[in-house]
Amino acid sequence: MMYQQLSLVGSLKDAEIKITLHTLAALSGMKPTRIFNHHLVWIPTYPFNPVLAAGEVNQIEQYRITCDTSLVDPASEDEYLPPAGFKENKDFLQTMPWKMIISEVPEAGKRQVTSQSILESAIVEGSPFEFMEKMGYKFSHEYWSKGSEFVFGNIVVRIFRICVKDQITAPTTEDQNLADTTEGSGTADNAMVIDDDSFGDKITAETALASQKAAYQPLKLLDKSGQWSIKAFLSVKQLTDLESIITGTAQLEKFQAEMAGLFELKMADRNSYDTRLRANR
Amino acid sequence: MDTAQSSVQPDLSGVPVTALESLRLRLAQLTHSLNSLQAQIQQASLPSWPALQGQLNVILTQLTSLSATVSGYAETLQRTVAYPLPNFPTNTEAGLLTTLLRKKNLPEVDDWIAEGKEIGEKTRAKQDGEFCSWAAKVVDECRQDHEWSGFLSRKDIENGLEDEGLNRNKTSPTAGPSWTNDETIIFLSRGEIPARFQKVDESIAS
Repeated sequence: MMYQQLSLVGSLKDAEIKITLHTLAALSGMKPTRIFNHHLVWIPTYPFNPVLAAGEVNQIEQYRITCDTSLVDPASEDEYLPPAGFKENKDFLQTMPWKMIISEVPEAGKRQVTSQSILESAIVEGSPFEFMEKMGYKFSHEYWSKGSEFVFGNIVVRIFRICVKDQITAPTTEDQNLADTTEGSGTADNAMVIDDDSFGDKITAETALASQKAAYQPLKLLDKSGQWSIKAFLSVKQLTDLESIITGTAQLEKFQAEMAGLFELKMADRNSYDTRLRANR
Repeated sequence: MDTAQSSVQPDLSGVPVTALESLRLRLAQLTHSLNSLQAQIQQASLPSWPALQGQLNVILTQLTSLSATVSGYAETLQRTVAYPLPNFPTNTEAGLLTTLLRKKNLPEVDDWIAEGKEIGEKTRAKQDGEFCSWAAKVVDECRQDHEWSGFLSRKDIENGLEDEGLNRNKTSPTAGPSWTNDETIIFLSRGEIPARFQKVDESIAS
């Protein structure tokens, strides 16, 4: 499914998250929906780097592909599946329902919100990873996003933090050096597991069934300051549907104005969204 | 005749210019505010209540200011006597002259004052205070009938449901500088870690 996503982003200090969640819950009239997603980023196995010659098609662009799956059990809403690293638990992760996402660089223009074409497709049959490999893609890196989601009319607001694998299990030489210089206290810093929502307990205790298949992967925050990211977005079916785009933009700008004081929403730099492989780099 | 009249030089030194000027200014403001309020009320669609309330407050402030000015200059004004100059066109403007020199209130103004006094006697400040404390009590009672935080209604709580809140028990440790939005998005898009964080996180993206 291809659609156009209009979005604005912002950030929030950890100290303000509680009051913000309560405020959004009150304003939207809904309890926050939990989000805990695992994202795998894939890159082409054999990047195509043709010699550029005049007169030939030289705009060859290869995009990274992201695969997403939710670790929130849809039945009980708040029970988590254990986060499992791709390399360590490939077989277990195979069994999850994955969604494939390709994102275009947002449009350039004077619009005050980010407008980006996104192609999204669920992988319904067969092994998702084999499928990716057959398409000529290989695993690049992974991350987890964890937080809450609210719906305001057409607008979806996500407040989340990005987590990555914690490296304590397999320290590299760099980590070793770091630990040495900080005289062992580095381990404690590294072990900053984000169990703020007490999901750590749930994983060890309640999801024993799932953990038979997958080892619990300790995660750490990407942004060590504990800051939260905010993304407010809405989707329009087609880029060419100008009227809907204008309405959507207006709705997003109105929301931005309404949220002023609670958090600031801005338009991100469009180049940040560029997932293309850069040739010869 | 004309020459005789224009030769009369009025002595302006006794005119209380400051007092009259400040009164004139306040009266002008008040007239303007009252006119605009009247215009707003007569509109097809009534302005919003907060707007009307604001307008009323402005008028009340201006009235207070006017009455303070009047009482401030009361002494000067009481001993000042106005009289027409010889060159005033008495024949044609006799009516205006009586209005200008009138020292008594107009009958209708007298009525207003009497009415105001009557209302004032009925209202007792003490009763007003009693009313206020009663109102505060009622508001407080109403307030206690409702739950003002959490996600459950009073009924839910009485039925034994527990508010699990937002499930945030611990706050995570915070240290170091934060990532900017763009830096985060770049990481999500391309797995690139900004140079300033790379020293610690070199091993994240393989």
